[in-house]
Formats: sequence, structure tokens, C-alpha cells
Amino acid sequence: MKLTQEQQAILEGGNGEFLAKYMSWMVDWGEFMGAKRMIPVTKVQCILRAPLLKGLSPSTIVSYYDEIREICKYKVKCQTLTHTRGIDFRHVKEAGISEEEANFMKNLDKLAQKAGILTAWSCTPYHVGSVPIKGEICAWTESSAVVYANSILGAKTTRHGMESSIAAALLGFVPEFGVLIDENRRGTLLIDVDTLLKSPCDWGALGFFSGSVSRTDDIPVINGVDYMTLESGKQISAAIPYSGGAVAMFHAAGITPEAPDLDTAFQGDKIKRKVKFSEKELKKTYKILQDIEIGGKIDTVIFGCPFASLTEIKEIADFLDGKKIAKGVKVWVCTSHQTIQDAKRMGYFQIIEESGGSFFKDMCPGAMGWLRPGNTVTNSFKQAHYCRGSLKAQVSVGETQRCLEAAVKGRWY
Amino acid sequence: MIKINIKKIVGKNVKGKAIVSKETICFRSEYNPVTGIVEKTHSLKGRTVKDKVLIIPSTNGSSGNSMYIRLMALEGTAPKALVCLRIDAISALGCIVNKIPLVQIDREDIFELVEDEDYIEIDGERGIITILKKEE
Repeated sequence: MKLTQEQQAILEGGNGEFLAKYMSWMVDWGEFMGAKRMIPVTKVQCILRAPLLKGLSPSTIVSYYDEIREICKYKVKCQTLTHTRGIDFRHVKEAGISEEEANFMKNLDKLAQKAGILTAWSCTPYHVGSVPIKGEICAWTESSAVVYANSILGAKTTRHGMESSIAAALLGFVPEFGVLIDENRRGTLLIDVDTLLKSPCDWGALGFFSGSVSRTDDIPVINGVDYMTLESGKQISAAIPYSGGAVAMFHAAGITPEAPDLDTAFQGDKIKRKVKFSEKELKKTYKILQDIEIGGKIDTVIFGCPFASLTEIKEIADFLDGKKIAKGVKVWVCTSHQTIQDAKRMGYFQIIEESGGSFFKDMCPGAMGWLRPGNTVTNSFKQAHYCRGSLKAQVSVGETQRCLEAAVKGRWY
Repeated sequence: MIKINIKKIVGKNVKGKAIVSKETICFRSEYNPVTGIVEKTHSLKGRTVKDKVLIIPSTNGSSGNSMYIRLMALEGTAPKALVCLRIDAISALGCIVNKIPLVQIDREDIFELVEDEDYIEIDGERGIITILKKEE
């Protein structure tokens, strides 16, 4: 990789050992991924938190504290928002997090703000103040937000992890590879949709299916749908990286910004692979994450993966207004600080709490490895995948209204 | 004995026993770095990748994967090396940061050539992976 004089100096320790370490990781990473240079980045969503996983040895936890304290001694070079916090202080005991880790996380806001980091604590930066424009170079972490930014906003970000997002924030540039380069944004397989997508959850199913027939670096092109809502876009973006390859973007012909038509989506290439998504595939995809039969008892209902928008919260509140959630059933709505504030101001928060539901602020159950939600229904394929894997739950996926009916009936509806 | 060409490698030469899956894995949602056990959503469920050469098509899923590779390395539950058909940028990052060798090969038929417990030698200098079948 060709470095500028400034970048070479950082690598050689001119700005201290700590930045040299991050620079060397970026150089090694870039070279391995085929980058020829570093390019400026203007929006970062960084992972900044203690590991928050039960049973880790104290030395592991301390090494994270030390790293984060060191990171926060610097000033970030561009707009940097934090990914989810990994902890909701109202659920510390329930989540089995130690007091010490909780305190570290409580103090992290101030520490991060000193470094110029915006503590949005969100998996959906585009809901809380970070909407990149078409072509803007970003370093986002949350896998669904990466897909959303590339596909729906037309911004450019490779899939980032904690270390590369921190490096991007501290250094102000990223290695140029993958979907940062226009020709690597070419569609590689066609998903021919031959059924009506009736809800954002159906879009999640389409995402889960498209991911399952994709390999890492594939860019599926969705064809045969007329329109997409923000909520639908979130669900397809969230599901697509989880069922097969590590997919960083898709196109939807006639909808997303780089796919005015099929030919443009494939950048004039011949379509080599084609897969059909009809009613049969839709039903089959739902079946993959359907441990709980209709009529089966449920314990938990989860909304807000990715974090709920005000529109989604309003839909939940409108349904629950004047109703009671079934005894023993927990309803969790996950979203960030900022959205909760608005939901409170508009009364939706109170309606949901009065009906017996509660909010998860700045994090979601799927990321709390030792929660045991039992029989869980959700409108998100990604959350269902997490609940079944990390949380050892029985799961079923269905659209919002079905999940809400289930919440008040206490049975899968 | 089977020899396979390495397409790309980062990290040093290693030897170890194989653990193989045709399925991609998301460490963040499917592997517990404390216990070193694979969760039930994955075909390797109940098993460990600790100190093994993990042979998979790719990693997938969460951006937390590089952080989880870090946790695995710190907790001593990391694989000895990762051999993949395609490279997920996030696990590449995790392997580089934690000095775990990561190898890309260009052999779609790898899953017919290698089985669990086969002995794998990764030789970066010569650009070759040697598979010694367990019965050899």
C-alpha cells in the first residue's frame, strides 16, 4: 500500500506508539484486503464499550478498560458516533453485569465526549443524527447499518470492527478496498421476487433468504418489488449478513440509488446467477426460525431490532393503548436515548409502560449473552437468530401486529 | 497427503488438527469465548474451535466478530488458524490484531478433501497447506 508522508510518519511512531499501533493494524488489514491507499473518512460509528460478557477473566476486562481510557485521550478526526452501549442501567442485575463494569460504562459517556465522540449509543445512526450522503466515505460497524448505508443511502463503508472503527476515528482515514471502490459495488446475483411483501418482517425474510444464497462479497440484486419503506429497509439490511456470507450491500432495482434499473445494478454485466423468491421461499424462510407453534405459550416479545424508530414505537403504542399485556409476558422495545426522549414527549413511552411493556435503552437483549427470555417472538429475523443462539431461547418470527396480538394473548398468534 | 495452494495469508506458519464446517459462522452470536463452545444455531454446536485449524467458507454476521476474536484470544479459546474460501473484512481485522493466522484458499472442493481431526500444516513461505488425513 502506498502511504502519504503523514501516514508513514504515524506508522513509524511520529505521533506516539498508540497511534502507530492502530496505523499498523490498518496498513496490515488494508494490504491483506487489497487496498492500494488510505482515503479520508468523514463518518464513523465506533464500538466503544467494555466486553460485558459473563465469566470473562478480570485481566481481559482490565485490558479493555485500559485500551478505552487510552483511546479517549485523543481527539477524533471526524464525526464519530457510538454503537450500542451493551448495557441498560435499569437491567444491570437482570443482565448479570458486575457493579464495576456498570460503573465503568456509566463514566464512559464523559470520557468519550472528551475525545469528541458523540455518545449516541445506537445501532441505527441514521435515526439519531448521522445520515451520510450518497458516495460519502464512512466507517460504520453495526452490520445492518453498514448494509443500510451502502444500499439504501448510497454511502460507502466496508464492514468494520471495533479496532478499525477506532482507527478510522483517531486517524481520519481508512484503507480503500471492497465496496469503497465503485466496480466492487456491482450486483453479483439476482433475487427475483415473485410474491407480495406485506410487512417489514417479510422484507426481513427476503433478507434472510438472500443472505443464505449469498457468499461473502456477493451483492444481491432484488428485482420485482415496487417500493420499500425505511422500516422494510432496516429489516432486509439486518437479516442479510446473518444467514450465509458476510454481505455488505444489496441493490433493489428501481428503488435504491445505485440501481435505477437492473442493468445499472449489474453495471452492464451479464446476470450469471438467478434465484427465485416466491411464496414458497417466503414461507420456508419463516419456518427456519419457528420453534414456537401457533397457539404455543410465549414469555417474551422483542421489538426494535434494529432500534425502533418513532414510527415503529407509535405503531406499538397505538395497538397497546388501553390494553394489558398478558400476565407473565415481557414486552421489550429496544431503542436509543434520543428516540426514547421523543417517545416520552409524545406519550408513546407511557402508553407502552402502562400496558405492561418496557424499554431497553441503548442496547438490546440479543446482545446480553446470559439473558434467558424463554419462548420469544419478535418481528426481526436478526434478533431471533441471536435469541436462539446466544440466549438459548425458543423463537418465532412474525410481523409487528402478530407479535402484539401474541403479547396480549400470551400465546403465539 | 493433499497439498493446496494458498491464495492469501496473514500471520505465521502453524500446524494443528482441523475442525471443518460447510457453514459460515458468526462468532459474536454463535460462539461463547468464555466456555469455548459453539452455540446451537450452528452445525458445530456443542463443540470447540479452541486450538484447532478452523476451516469454513467465511465468517459472517456481526461487526462484533473482531472484538470476539480478541476475547477468544485473551481467554485462550481462539482457533489456532482460520482457513476460508472468502475473506470477511471483520474476521481479517480480528486475526491481524490478535496475530491469528488467516489463510484464503481458492478451492471450492475443500470440504470434500478435509475432515475433522485431519492434520493441517500451513506454510506461508511456500504458499502451501498440507492436509495429512487422520488415517495416514
